[in-house]
Amino acid sequence: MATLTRYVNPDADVGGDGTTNATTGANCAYKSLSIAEAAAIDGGSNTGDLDTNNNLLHIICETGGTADTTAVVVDGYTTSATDYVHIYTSASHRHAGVWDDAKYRLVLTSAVPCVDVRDNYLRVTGLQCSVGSTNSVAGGIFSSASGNAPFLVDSCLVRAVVAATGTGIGYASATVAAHQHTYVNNIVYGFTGVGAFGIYTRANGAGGRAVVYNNTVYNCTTGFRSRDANVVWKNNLAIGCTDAYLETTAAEIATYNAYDEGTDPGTNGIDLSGSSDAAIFTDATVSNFTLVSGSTAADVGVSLASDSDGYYSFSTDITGATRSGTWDVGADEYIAAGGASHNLSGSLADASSISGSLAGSKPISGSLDDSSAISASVAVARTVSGSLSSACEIAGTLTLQGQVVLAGSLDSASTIAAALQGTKPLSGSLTSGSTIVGSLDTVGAQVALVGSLSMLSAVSASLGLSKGCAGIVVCSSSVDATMRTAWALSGAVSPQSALSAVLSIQGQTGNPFRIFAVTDRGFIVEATARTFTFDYEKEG
Amino acid sequence: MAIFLIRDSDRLHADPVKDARGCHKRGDIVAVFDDTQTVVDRPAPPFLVVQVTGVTKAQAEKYLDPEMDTVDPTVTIRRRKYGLAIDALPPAILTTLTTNRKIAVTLTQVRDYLRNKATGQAG
Repeated sequence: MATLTRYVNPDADVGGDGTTNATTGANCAYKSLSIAEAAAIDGGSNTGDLDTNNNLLHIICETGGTADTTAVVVDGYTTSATDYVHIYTSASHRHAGVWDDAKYRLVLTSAVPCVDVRDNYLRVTGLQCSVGSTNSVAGGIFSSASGNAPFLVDSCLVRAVVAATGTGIGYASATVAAHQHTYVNNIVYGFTGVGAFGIYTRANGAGGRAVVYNNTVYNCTTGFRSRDANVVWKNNLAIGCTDAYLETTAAEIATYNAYDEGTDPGTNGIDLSGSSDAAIFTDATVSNFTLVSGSTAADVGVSLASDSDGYYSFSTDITGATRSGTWDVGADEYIAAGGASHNLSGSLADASSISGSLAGSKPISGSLDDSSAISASVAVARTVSGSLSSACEIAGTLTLQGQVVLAGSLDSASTIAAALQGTKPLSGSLTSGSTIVGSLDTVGAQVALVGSLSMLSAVSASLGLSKGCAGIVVCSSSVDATMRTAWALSGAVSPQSALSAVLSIQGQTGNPFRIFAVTDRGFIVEATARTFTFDYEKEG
Repeated sequence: MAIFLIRDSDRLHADPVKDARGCHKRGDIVAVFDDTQTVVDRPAPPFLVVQVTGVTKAQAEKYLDPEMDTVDPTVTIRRRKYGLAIDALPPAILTTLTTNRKIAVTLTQVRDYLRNKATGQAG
């Protein structure tokens, strides 16, 4: 089995082949998820036969800020349990458990589902879907009457912005199918119209089953509905619904489900009728349904890391955080600030902001892009292996007790205003307008700038003690401060660079040391480091 | 002006119901955009781009409608009700479209080729 990957970005040009996440050019992303579906990529004749071509299709959704406003019908693919379509958002374009207009989202106002599932084995992960129609056909992620497909919906946010009468997530076909539908870690809210449902399950007979684990449904007419048998509810949270759990036919298994209305639909239920929204959620008034510190929905569920019934096992929540200890109910697992379980493996892009502290041992393996800001302290043993690019700003302190590896580049107009201290190999480049206004200093350790200082880079601080600059200082770079003590400048200082400060070379020079200067007649000449006198070798 | 993104080849499925209901066919309009959008120099297969003056995006969106069952209007029977009859286009337009994978035309030039697939009538 091979994996095919295609990208979606509503800010891309029209007509790209979807093979990259670029927004311009022949290989740019598809402009909508519906176009990606229509492309029928299968690794063969592009008819959508993933099974015969033995391919798994990943469709990765991103955005520069624009919403995707086209409904998606996934139909016509030939799939199997191993060769199917997986639609998901990349980490930096995914919500963090709360609706985010800067992240990828499907926003519909028409009388259709945001995602109409008609092919088997589809997986949908991390999408935001907004429903803006009161038509009962309108909904979030839904297998409609034309479909009869098993699918998995994981970590999605589905909201209604009108008094919707449809369904957030569900399966409507009355046709009996021997398939499993799995809904895990989703948040659904606002489906308040007559006959509306948060998560709706039916049929699933003849060996089929609906597995509904750790979902949060808030302010819906009916939170969870079991229309037929073979429904398994575990660790769900229904708050503010007219009817929290509606069983036309009793669920096959219902355990550790929380409710503030009615009675326990099964066993081990958690009665939260005495809890206010504020005692459960961070701020329900702004649709933030992550759990508040001390939430009454915390530590009252059951671990499904190894599902005792064997239907579906998992260990993360809607934000990707690892669940541990006694599980919380609902989509979010509360983790205290500074907890050890946050992994930021993706990118911080497009004006992302972290105003709190990043404490503990957390790797940042992705990129800090476009106007990302870390205004707080980043302390202790950080590894930034990605890039700091385009106007990133770290205004706080990067205090590095251990080893910090900045293996990427500091690009266009990046600013590190704070101190970089400790043992830091800086192997990337300082390019086009990068600025380090703080100190690149060490505590008797070694700072290695292996890359280049190129056009218009400015290092106005001190570069001190045992630093190796193995790259090239080129065109109009400016080193205004003191470069001193044991420098190994093994690269070249190219024309028009300015070394206006003291350049004291006391250690090894390593490779031939070359200094270029401009003669009074305007010619570029080279001096040798061996003598530290300008020994004109040539003119012109 | 509206920009039509059009499928240039048939998508096929062994199940005839899914083939009709789920698969875009050659000439099906997959998406429409307004004239603020930029089109790549050469659109990639399986898509062609036809930029049509004389019609708005809102007007063009009718060509995205599926064909629904007349007995049960909740059931889709064909992925698109309308399509562009690419192979019936005048030779000069067809040649340019085939060569460049995109073309700018007026609605008058293509109106007769935007057809209801069931009836063959120009839409």
